[in-house]
Amino acid sequence: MNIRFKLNGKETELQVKQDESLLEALRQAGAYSVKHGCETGECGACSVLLDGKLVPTCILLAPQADGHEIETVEGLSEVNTIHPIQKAFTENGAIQCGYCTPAMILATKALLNKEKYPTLEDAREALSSTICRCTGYVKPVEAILRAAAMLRGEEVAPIGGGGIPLELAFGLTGESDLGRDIPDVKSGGGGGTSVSVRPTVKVAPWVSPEAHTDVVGRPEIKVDAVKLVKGKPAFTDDINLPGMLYAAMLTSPHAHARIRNIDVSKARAFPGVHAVLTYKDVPRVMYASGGQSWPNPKPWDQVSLDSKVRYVGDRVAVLAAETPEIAREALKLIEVDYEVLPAVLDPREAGKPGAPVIHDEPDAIGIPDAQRNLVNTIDAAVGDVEKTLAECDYVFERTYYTPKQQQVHIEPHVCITYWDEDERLVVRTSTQVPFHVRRMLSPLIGLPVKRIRVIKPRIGGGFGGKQEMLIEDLAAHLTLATNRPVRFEYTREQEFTSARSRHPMYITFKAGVMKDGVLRALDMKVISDTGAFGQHSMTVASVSGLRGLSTYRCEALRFHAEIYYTNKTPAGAFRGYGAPQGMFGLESIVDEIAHELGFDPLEFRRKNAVRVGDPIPISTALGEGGAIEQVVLSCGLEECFDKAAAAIQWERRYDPKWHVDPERPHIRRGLGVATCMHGTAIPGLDMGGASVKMNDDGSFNVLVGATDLGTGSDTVIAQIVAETLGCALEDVIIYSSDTDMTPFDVGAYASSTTFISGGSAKKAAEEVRRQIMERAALMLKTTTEGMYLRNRHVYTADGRAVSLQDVALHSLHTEDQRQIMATASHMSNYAPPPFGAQFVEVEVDMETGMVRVPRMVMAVDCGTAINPVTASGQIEGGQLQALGMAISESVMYDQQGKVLTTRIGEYRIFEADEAPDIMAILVPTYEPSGPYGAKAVAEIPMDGVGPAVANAVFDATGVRVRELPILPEKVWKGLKELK
Amino acid sequence: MTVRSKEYHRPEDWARAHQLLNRSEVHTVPLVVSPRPAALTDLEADAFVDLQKLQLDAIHKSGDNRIHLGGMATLQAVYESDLLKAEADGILSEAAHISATLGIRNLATVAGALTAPSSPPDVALALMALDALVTLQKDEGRTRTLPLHEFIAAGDKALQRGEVLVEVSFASAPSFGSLARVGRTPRDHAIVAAAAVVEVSNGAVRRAGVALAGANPLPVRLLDVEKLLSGKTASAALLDQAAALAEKQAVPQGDYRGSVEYRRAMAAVLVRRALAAALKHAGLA
Ligand code: FES
Ligand code: FES
Repeated sequence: MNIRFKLNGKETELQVKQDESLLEALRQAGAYSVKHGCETGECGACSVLLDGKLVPTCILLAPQADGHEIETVEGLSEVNTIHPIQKAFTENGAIQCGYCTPAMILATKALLNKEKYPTLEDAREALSSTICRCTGYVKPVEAILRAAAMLRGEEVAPIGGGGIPLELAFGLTGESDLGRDIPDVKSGGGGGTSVSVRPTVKVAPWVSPEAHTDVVGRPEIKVDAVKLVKGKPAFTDDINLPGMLYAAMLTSPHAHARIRNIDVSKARAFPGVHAVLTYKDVPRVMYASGGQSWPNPKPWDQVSLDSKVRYVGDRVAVLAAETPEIAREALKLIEVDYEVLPAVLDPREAGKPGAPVIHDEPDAIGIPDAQRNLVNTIDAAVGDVEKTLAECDYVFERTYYTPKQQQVHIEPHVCITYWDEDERLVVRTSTQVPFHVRRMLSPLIGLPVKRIRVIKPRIGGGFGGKQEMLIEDLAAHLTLATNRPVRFEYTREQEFTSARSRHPMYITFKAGVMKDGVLRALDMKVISDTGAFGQHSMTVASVSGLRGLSTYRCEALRFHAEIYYTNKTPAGAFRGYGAPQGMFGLESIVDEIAHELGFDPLEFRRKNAVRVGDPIPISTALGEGGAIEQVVLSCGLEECFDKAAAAIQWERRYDPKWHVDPERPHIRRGLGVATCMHGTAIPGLDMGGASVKMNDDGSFNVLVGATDLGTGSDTVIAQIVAETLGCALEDVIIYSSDTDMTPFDVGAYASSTTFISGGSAKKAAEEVRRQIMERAALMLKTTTEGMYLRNRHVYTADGRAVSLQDVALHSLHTEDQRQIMATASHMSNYAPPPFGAQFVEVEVDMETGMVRVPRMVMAVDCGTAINPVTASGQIEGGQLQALGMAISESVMYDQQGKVLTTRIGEYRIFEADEAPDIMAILVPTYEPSGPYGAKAVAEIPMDGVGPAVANAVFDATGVRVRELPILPEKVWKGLKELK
Repeated sequence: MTVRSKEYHRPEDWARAHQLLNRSEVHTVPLVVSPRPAALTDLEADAFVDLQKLQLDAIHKSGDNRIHLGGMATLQAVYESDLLKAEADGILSEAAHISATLGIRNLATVAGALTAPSSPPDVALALMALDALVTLQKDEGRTRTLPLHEFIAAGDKALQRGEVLVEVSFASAPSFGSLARVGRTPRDHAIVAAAAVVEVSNGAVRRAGVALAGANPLPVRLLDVEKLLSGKTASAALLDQAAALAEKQAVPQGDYRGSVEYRRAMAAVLVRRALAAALKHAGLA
């Protein structure tokens, strides 16, 4: 049927199916800013203004819009113009992955249309139906207030920030830019209201000083912000290829079953279906789906399609059809005869005699004890734990549990595969690991690496969920079978049943401590639940040990992990990668010890925490990249504690009056703290490459393999290059993650991008700088001695200057012609730890057990924050994600292994109007091994919130909850037991 | 065999709407969005009837001092209605607000909130406590009106095939109300929730409306508790008795968000809390 409506002011007529969603119809019509994130109206990504009201379009039928007026962000601005709301969002750093951004912009518009002077509450309410998994809503809410001021015609303050102050700006790699003009060095300041950048010197003694920076350390607007805020077709699914087919996947309804027979004849015969594939149709090649360096860690226990299913949601068959509706209908015609097998869901049961054997296939590679469902064990030790424990005045032992948190990036897994004109397979996919995907895909589909090109467009969030080759193989098989482009996207339900999650773990700590509060020994045991497949399981468990045993000085450390298969959705990589599990155990037991021995929990931590110069011995024992000694070179932990404690008003903990509320007698208040320490990249393993090329006008193309998954890494890398080459950020055109076009990079994980990929970009830029100086010397008939680059010019020691443009023109066209360009790669044997202090305030309902968190503060030492706005954005958003795991988030199963939490609402992610007040404080230090002193920042905010909430609940109530998430009933039970 | 697209209709009048809805050969349902919306692909019907032309979205007070909400009034309209904010401390506005976020409230309707048993119970609780009546229409001139709590008690059998929930109404009266809930997060679909509305005269409760969700298979109105309160002055002992009655009648179904034991205990805690707050607003506690 045809529908007529006004789209962004223009009369529009569309031909639609009567039962298709308005979301599909709008995207078909080219309104790609309207995004798909779920099917149930709960994520808000698909929202538009319908007659001025914000509504999700995935739950509306297209014909319902007939006769109405629809606005999308495409209507807000033209090429070269930008709407004030969009401007406010870019300036304020309110955009991370940008997938929720169009909906947020529209929500803002609807609000500001009726309210010129919105309050903070109004802003939060306006965003309440747009789930954002990246920002924690802090900067978007600020952006709304900024936009309102702009629309009222008020002057708004520029987002401040002044580069790295001189005291901090110390050089790396012996290169230095001494001799540059040094402007006001005290102009440091933050972007956004809750960012603070204070110049404080923390340098290892052997580093030599470098000058003030122009681009690095400043809150530059993200390089991709404008396209995202305008809703440009930048994501994987924002294209429509001629002849494209739609894939759909049949999944297992049983937790464990053998497929006796599968009959796809009816589905194949269904008009519009072009291919149906089962285990009978694709080669059986064993692999591990985790996107990790070659050779992928064992076990290799998966095949693209199998004759056995091991969890509800496991792959059974996949097909490609001309429309999504045909694909869905055809799935129903596949007949499967299952022999249902007994299932095991608890990792503590999985190793017991008589438990069903999940991997009984003979061809799996590298499962140490498949009969016991044992995927792996890990052991590591430093010193003599038994002996030291025996010497300690007190020994504490406790067990903790962390849940199966799901990544819930708002953009589901999606990929499009097609043959290009050279008959090479192009895989356009939302991935964090394009280069790993290319290599891992090759054997599964029988094409050499050189015939595969993987392109990563913008990603709508990953958080580790896309450090996985999850669906690319199936789409590729379908393209091979049909020779047509194939689009494959998960539904939200499939994200919960058939994607990945955090590994749930049981963590037991035994701690030996002396009367004076000195920790001497930590013995940590982990039982990890990897679900039906083992990808990432060994490295995640290893990181839980690494992080659980690094933070405090101890003479004896021991780690033992056992990883078991269960008949549940496989776990995988998730921001933090084992650290939130280990840190929940560590920071809980440390709190318990402090309480039992009568120490202030903060003082106890200060007393025992590592400091500059300390070795991290457990990393040598556990390192993924081989045994490499790690030492703490920079550490701002003390200052993190100071600043965050002041911000949360830690002294209130000792005021009995503060803990109660006379107005609400059933409420008790409490404060909790946790120390955070993370890693930066995998030492000796992670590698990234970058190329920098100079253009005629003195601008630069930068090609990097690094994968910006919304964190802003493209911006950070471009800032590093601009700083090194003395140009503005806008002179750097960055292109990332395309296996044909860019150098190799392991991908976006392990908090490595700024440090590793940024390091490679810095090296390449330094080489280009050397070439530029040589050319300038040639032009000015002088030497490069004392030369420096700044303000788009090369300056000589004697004060003469030549512009970068002239250098480029000279080199490309005039004399001794050559291309100024360089490629470099970077790997580091050091993994400098960022540090953090996490504080939370809670209110506990003593009758229901419900925990509310009004406020969270985290101070982080991430070395130099190359971009303080993107860095603080990581810390804000990470805290809210971590709060989800603390309070509500866990994929739940029934006794048959069926997932109960298949909707965003049921799974429960914090919405804008219930999220706490979140604060991020940056404590700058200078990390000598990082580019411009940078360390990682992306994952550390996941580490402290869980234990800090549990510790605050204890402070409020005396109840110690050792199991996340802290659902009301758990506290209620604890309160009953106290009585 | 091909995929047949489902039908979409937007009737201009009720005659046509009922003609469509009452067809026996094509399974036809009205398009109604609940605060916990179903995916379009999960809607079990072969034809949809869009009621947007039938002016079923009014919220008004009639001459007999009753407040009427059209079945297609959106939850956002309920939330924003000044008329409703003035009734029982705005318990219904609050219920509409908490049961869904802005975007969904702009689409979800009163009918959606009351006809989908798995949806957040807040609106149903508030309306039951307000002693609401619901009107269902099978055809022009063929309507039936029944107490909302009876409608809710019938679960998914409440609506006959072809029937449309056209209106909910309740008597406007000076009254006080409160909603008490527990969830994982403040806006979570309540694990257990209770609503209480009291009218008072001469320092005593004249009428009480109490409803509870999460402690029985379906939301319930606690008529026993209401009877207990009627004519009484507020006291801690009275609240204890009310809570005990609520707990006694509870037959919860446990799940990962709350066990049977927890839900039963919360029935008492939240009924007591909702009542205490309403009585406090009334100046009785
Ligand atoms: S709300 Fe429509 S896609 Fe999620
Ligand atoms: S920026 Fe909001 S979901 Fe990524």
